Amino acid sequence: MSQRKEEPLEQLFLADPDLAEWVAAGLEQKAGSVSPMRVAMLVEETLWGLSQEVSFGHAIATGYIHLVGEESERNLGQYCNLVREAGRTGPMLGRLMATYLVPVLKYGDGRLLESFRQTVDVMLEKGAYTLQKPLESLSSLLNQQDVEAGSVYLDLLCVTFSQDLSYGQCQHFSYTLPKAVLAFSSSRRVWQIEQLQRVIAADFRLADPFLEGLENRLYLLSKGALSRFVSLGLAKLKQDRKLAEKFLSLESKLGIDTFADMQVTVPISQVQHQLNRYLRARTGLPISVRPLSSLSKAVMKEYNKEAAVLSDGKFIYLPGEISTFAHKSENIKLYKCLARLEAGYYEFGTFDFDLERAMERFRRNMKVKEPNSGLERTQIVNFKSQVEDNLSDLDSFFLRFPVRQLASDLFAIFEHGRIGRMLSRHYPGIVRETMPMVEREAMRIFHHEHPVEVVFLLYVWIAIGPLSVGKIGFSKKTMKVAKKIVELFENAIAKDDTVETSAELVIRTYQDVSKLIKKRSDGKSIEEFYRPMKTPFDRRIRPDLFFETYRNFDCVAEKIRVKLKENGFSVYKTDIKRRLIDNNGTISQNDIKEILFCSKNDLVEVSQHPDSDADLSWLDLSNLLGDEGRSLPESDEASCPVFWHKEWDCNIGDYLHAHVRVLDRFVTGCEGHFYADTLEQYRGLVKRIRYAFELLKPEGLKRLRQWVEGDEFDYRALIDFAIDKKAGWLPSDRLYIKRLKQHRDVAALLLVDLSRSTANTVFGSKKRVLDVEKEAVVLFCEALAVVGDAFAVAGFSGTGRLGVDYFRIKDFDEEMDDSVKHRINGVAPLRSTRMGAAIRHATSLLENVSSKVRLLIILGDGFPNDLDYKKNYAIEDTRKAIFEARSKKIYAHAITVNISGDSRLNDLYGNDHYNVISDVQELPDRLLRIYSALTR
Amino acid sequence: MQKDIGNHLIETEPYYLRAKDEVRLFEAAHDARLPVMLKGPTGCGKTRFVEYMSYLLKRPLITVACHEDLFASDLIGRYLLIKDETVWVDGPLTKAVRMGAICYLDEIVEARKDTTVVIHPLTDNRRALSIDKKGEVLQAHPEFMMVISYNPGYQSVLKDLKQSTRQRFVSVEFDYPEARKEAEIVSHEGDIEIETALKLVSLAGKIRNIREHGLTEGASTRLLIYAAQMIRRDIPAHEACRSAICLPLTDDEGLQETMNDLIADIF
Repeated sequence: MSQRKEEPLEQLFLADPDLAEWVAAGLEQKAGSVSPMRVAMLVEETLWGLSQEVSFGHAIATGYIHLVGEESERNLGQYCNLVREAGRTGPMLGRLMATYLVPVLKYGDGRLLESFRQTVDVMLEKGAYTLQKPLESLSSLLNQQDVEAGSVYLDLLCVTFSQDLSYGQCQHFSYTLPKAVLAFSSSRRVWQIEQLQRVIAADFRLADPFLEGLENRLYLLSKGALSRFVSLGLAKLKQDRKLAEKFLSLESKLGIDTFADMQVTVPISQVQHQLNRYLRARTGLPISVRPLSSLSKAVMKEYNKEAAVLSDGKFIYLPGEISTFAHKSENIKLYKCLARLEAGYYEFGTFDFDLERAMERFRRNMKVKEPNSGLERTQIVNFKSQVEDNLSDLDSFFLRFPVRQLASDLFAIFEHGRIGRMLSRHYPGIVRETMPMVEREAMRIFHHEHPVEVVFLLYVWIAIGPLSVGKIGFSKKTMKVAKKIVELFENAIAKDDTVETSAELVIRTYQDVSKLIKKRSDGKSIEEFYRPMKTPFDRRIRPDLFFETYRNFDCVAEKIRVKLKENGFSVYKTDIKRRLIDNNGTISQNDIKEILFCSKNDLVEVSQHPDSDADLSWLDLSNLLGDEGRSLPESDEASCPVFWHKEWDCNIGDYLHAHVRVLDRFVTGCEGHFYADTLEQYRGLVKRIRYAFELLKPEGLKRLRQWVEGDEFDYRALIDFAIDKKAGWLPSDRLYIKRLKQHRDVAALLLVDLSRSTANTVFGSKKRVLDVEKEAVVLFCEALAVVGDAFAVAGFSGTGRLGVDYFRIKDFDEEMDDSVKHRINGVAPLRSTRMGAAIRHATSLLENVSSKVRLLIILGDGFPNDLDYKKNYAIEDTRKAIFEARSKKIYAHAITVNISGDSRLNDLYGNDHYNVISDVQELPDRLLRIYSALTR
Repeated sequence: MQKDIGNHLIETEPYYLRAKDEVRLFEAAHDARLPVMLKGPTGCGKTRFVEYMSYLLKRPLITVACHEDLFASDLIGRYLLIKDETVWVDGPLTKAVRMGAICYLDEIVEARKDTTVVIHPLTDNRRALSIDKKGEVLQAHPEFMMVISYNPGYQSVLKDLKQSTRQRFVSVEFDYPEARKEAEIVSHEGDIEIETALKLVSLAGKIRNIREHGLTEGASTRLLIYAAQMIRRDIPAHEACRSAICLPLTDDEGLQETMNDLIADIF
């Protein structure tokens, strides 16, 4: 450090040694030199700040350190003046200014500074308390170098706080606006802020509804569409503010419809369900789609997020949203196309490539014919069929070529070509739909990215189609080589359309292609010159990801293969792996027998056929398989009956078997007068209920006329009989009346949510939610006893998947005696809600009841929620459980209390299968109304 | 009687493609005079199989479609008044017992539970039918055979066969035939070329993959034949599939959309 700098710093050192050291270190790091004048200024201002308040001084020092020695140094004078000015008002304001002015001066221009000053002045009129959060978010925007957004954000603040706001409103906006603005996606932030400003300028009370709408789905609108939407919303303001609010928050039907018309961008969530079901149907495998953003960062980096697709064996990753086309339907179509193409790898066995099998086949083919095409013999011998550690078969295969990337690209070309041929055979519709898109994308790549000529030509010719080749100009020589390769491909694929053919083609064409590339590489080595091939939509084959997903199965499969080999049985590793994947990590001896092949002479005849006579009794599979997939939790030491239920995992799109442990027990009774008290309290209602339910009771006997046998004659029929007989016709023999005892055959199970949240008190009353639920249960019992339906009552709660409690309150065959009443009294709020398991358990109990109509009524106070059982996952599982119940002819109906309607309830229970009771006090009455309506 | 037998004989060979060894099983059961239960989803060929076997064995076939109001007397017979006389008229079951026919009770679970009991003495070693109203115990003709069909897809407690009924039958299981055979059947019955039939079958296979997503049953072979017959009459393939396969299967819009996607892919 130079002498000159030290002098002023010395003063600072006396005042605050720590700060001085920090400043000195900061100055040291500056690239350019800092003039002593600046340092002196820094020290002087800091000392002044410190004299006001310590934190103010620190803020000033930090501000100067950020500004000096940079391009922004010229603004130092302004900084000094403004901070001084603010500091004179008070250290608090001074500190804010010293901190948040820095990014404005650093990244902005004069206009931004002007607007900053103006905004701060406007906000100061409301009070300095409004400044902190908004300024903090502003500097975070500016620090992201998003100056444009910063500028419109300042305008927004200025407009907002010039309105006539109360203290509470000011505080509200100074909290919500920064939060919302930072949450906007950076690509859309500027115009979303602009629209927010328009809304607030029209009426600040519309801000919250509009923000809600934006968070909900409005964010998907393009710039122009959002502006039009806001205009429509503001037009509503002239009629009625409420109307505009509901429109902007996407609550009114008009709002939702308008939005749907304008929407262009399609988020993956909108198509996810449909694509998952499609994939399940087409491949029969549990493959589902996910957004690209759920990939690890390392993989993500390689992909452009706009339109790319890749997969890892369990998931197909697609862009989080697509806005490539100007119409929503086309964007949806793009999603569908990407998923359809990717599914081809799984349907046509790309990842079932087995190096050993490929090499054996290749050697065999070489022996039979074309002894010298493509590669020299010596090279072929070098192709060992051993797989490298930690690499997939495909990657080990590529590794055997001098330029691995070229081999991998050639493989992609042939494999895409092969899948294309398979698709046009089995799914002409897919080819019709997707190929134009793929071709368009290929043309774009050709014109903008200058790909390696021959490789790209081959891709277009083989994977897209010969027609596309005409649209691009290639040199004659390249065309000639390519034509030869295309012919080779067509012949090979016509003979054998497995993935190994693609690999064989790589071996046979690698030399020719690499020679041709070398000629054009201007003397550079091919390793240097070669750039990886770009494919439309980044459709690359990722054996590495697939390998990673099923690494365990790969190890197990290899162990089994080696073991079999030692005992003289031959089997391909990939075949074992495929079985393991299909059977979730297990394989039986019969499975192995099916995939054994005999290799009497390993080059001449390898025919795979089930060898059912093979004796594999020595093979101890359980040992080799290890504990994979069979990690059943600890033994059930619980004193009550234990049941295991499956659970639907929406992330993998498959059931997890025996995943949830349900403990089935009775509620511990608790003596008390709750039951009698409730009846007393609702005396009037009870009377009315009794009457209404008496009416529900069937009349008893039903008379069936014109029966062939019965208790008495039906006189009307007798007359007909006499007439017919007189007339000489054959009279009908349906002459009797039969009396049938008609009975109401309904069984109902009331399942009550006992989660912790039911301990909350009901608004405007001293009762807890659960107390009201209990009252409803009491009345339910009374009413059903009157009508004579078989019924049961149970509660559920739990912690985690191993601790779901199912509490029986009353069984179907139990009388309404004191013990039941005590149990109702003993019910208390417990833990969480793993609803799916509880519903499954209740369903299994209801299934054993032989009534004609079986009803499951679920009484809850919100959405399911438990350990590892949240949001979407919980909703999907619960919905599955309800579907399962329905498929067993058990009608599930839900009653939700204490929340306002939520569209997610539709997802949860299905349309028309639930009631929302926003005021829980109405529950006892409503429950019975709903019940009687359901069973009338 | 001879004329009656003639009425129930199947003269031309019904089209039936053997799936596994069901024919051998049935022949063995017939030889041992054991009653047979055909289990399988709707529209997979159970009824056609019985017709085929009746043709092969050259036995008359009497089919009764069971329903909720089917009384014992509907099976056994009743007295009718014909010109001031009471005349006994045999029901289909009695007829079959007398002439030694194959009596096929289709969808037996649909019948009332008390009705099914009358077949009990016929289906064990007694092989007798008691006709209460006549006070007669009718010994079955040596060639008489009882066949019932049953769809386990309706697995409901209410529509389940009693164990005492179930355990009197030799059971032959049916499922949708394997793809190649199913295509052959569709192609033959719908009179369309095998390529289109293969596509229909591939579509059905995919729809059967999503059975658990809310379909109670997958697309049956019968539906495929319907679709084929529509295509044969120049209805465009996707429309034929939609009206003959998708719409009958479900009302759920999401599922419909997935099925439409599959149709668009395949055709």
